[in-house]
Amino acid sequence: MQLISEQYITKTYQVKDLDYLDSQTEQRLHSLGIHVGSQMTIVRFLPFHGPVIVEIDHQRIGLRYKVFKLLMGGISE
Amino acid sequence: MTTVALMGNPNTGKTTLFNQLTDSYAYVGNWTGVTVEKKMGSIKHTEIVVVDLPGIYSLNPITKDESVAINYLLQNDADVILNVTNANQLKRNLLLSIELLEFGKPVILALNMIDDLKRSGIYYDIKTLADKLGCVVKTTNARNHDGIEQLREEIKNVPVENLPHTNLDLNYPSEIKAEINKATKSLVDNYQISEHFASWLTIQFMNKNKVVRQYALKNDFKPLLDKADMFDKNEFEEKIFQTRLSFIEETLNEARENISSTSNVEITSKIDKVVTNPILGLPIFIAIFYLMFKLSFDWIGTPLSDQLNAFLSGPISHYSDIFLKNIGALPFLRSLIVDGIIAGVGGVLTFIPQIMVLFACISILEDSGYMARAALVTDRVMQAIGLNGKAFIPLIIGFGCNVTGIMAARTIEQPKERLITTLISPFMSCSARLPIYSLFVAAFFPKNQALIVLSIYFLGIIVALAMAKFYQLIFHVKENTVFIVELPQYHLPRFDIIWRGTWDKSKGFVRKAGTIIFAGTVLIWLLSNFGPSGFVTNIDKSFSAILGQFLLPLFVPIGITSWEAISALFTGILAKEVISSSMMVLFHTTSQTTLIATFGQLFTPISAYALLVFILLYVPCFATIGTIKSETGSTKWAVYSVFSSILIAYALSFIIFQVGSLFL
Repeated sequence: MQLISEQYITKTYQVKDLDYLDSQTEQRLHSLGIHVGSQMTIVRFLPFHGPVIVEIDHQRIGLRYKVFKLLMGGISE
Repeated sequence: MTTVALMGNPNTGKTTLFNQLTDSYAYVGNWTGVTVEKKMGSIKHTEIVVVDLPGIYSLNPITKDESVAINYLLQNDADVILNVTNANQLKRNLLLSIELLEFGKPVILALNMIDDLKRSGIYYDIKTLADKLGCVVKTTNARNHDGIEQLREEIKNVPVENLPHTNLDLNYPSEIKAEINKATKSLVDNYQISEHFASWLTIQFMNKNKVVRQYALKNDFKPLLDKADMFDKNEFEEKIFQTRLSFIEETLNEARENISSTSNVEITSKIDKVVTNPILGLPIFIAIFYLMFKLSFDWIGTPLSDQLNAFLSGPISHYSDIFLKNIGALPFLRSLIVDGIIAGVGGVLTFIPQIMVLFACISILEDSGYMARAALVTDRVMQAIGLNGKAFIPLIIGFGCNVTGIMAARTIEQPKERLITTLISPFMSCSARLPIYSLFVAAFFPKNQALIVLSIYFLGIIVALAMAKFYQLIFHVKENTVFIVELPQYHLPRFDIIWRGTWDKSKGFVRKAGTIIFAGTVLIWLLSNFGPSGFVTNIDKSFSAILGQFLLPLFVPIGITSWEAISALFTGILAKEVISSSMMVLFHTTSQTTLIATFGQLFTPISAYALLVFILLYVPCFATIGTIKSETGSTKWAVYSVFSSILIAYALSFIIFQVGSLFL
């Protein structure tokens, strides 16, 4: 998996969507200053769809893979 | 008396700042219904009390411990709010600051970790910030004690009445502003609350703050309750967030100054490349914890413990015996003090060096910033059983001592997950269980000692994970828990911070465990020294013998045929390491070799293994039971833990003995 994801690393993306998240996760991301349009740099994927480390506003955050995918604009599986 | 409430995001160095501002402090018991402790301390030579509240991201709580802060604002009367922020992450820290500024009480904003900010090549003009936010702004670097003196002077010298009441009035969209004004006016007119409080309440209510909504319901604030649907339908929450965010960006842009940078960020990146490496991350995590265990239980902790043990069971015990003899104490009183209290309480005290070393290691990991990474690399594994990465650390620590493991579970945010972690912690085979394992494997499995012990450890892990899965199902733990970990920059651990952290944690252990162990010791001593006929010198006539014999039929199905073993198990509830020494006493022997020979007649390899499994899983020790009670805040869970573990232990050792007997 990490091989497939390798191409994304160190690239920067815009946070596309917060609407599909559960309200608590959305609230926590908001509190961290993350909103639609935030610039998100991907730092690392942990194996087996484990957490993803991203950098937003010079701060590193670990997210669950599912949440990360939703931020990237993917629809919930 | 002036009360200063310390509030701010997690990872802003709040507690470090608190420790430096105050010189004397005390843990204050539980908050109503919440198990998280708040700390109170006073500033030297003043009447000023500082209250340290748990870190929060916003006033709208997600977890139970986050609700402490909002409840504090609603119920208590702080004179000043000291808002600690991470200067390096000011954008999001100010989101909380705005909520606090809107509250209306005087606010002192501390830009902490100012050095990290400077290193990143940015600085803020303090005057611009103070003007825009309408509060006092101070810069500090708590780790190096920078700016603490000035901050303390500010708090000490400025009388509260002279501090400006904040008057932050953000330019919310006109529809929201109109509603705020309407609701505020109506609240002031009909419910006798101050205008400032009313407007803050209204904004928090629009923001869907759960606690404020309940508060409104309780006080029947009609002007808010009637509008709730309208507020939500028009997405006031989102609009308020956007207004705040643009205000912050505007403010920071205005105040920003560029200076030349020296980067610490790069070092953090380099370390992270290694410790969160997809392949090496887990092995490194294991290596770090292995090192921690080596330090606590091999290199430093155990030698110290052994010396303390030698001191307590040697000179201390010997001289108190002589002393008691000389003053003519009654024999039974002497026995109670020497064999009961000194042996029992001392037995627990000897663990302090190990525990302190373990706590010091944990403090170093916490202070350096590694804990967040550890939670991250273990999250995927824990997800499978409905827990998250933050639960892994307490379990690992539980191998050392279940008490410390359970206490480490405090870092878990979701109450249900914290409860599950607490309940499964006792199944992790703590170091106190090792002596009895070694005794039995030496007797029955001389060729496969390590393998047998390892299998017991693994069985503990399997039971813990299975129970976690079971609890996940019956507690209906939602699959997507909030797992968002901040990865703070690494810091070189500082000795004073580590020392304070270690002392804080160990102190609690000594006090809590000490009282329970003391009571338990006296009880066990009484049981084995008294019988129906009063004080007995022959243990066979004591209550513990009677109890053991009475329960014998229950234990025969799991392969235990001697009442002595059962009585020894009872003493194990006091502390697991007591089991082997009780067996020595109960089997009337002083040497391990004789004891091993005795076992040969009483147990078969299968029944010995079943007994080890029983010892692994049955009732947590007194200290653990006490900790479960204090950490869950309920006797119910402590009692549940006792009974559920007996049941599991009995069922498993029954199966092992019965099935094993068929084949061997």
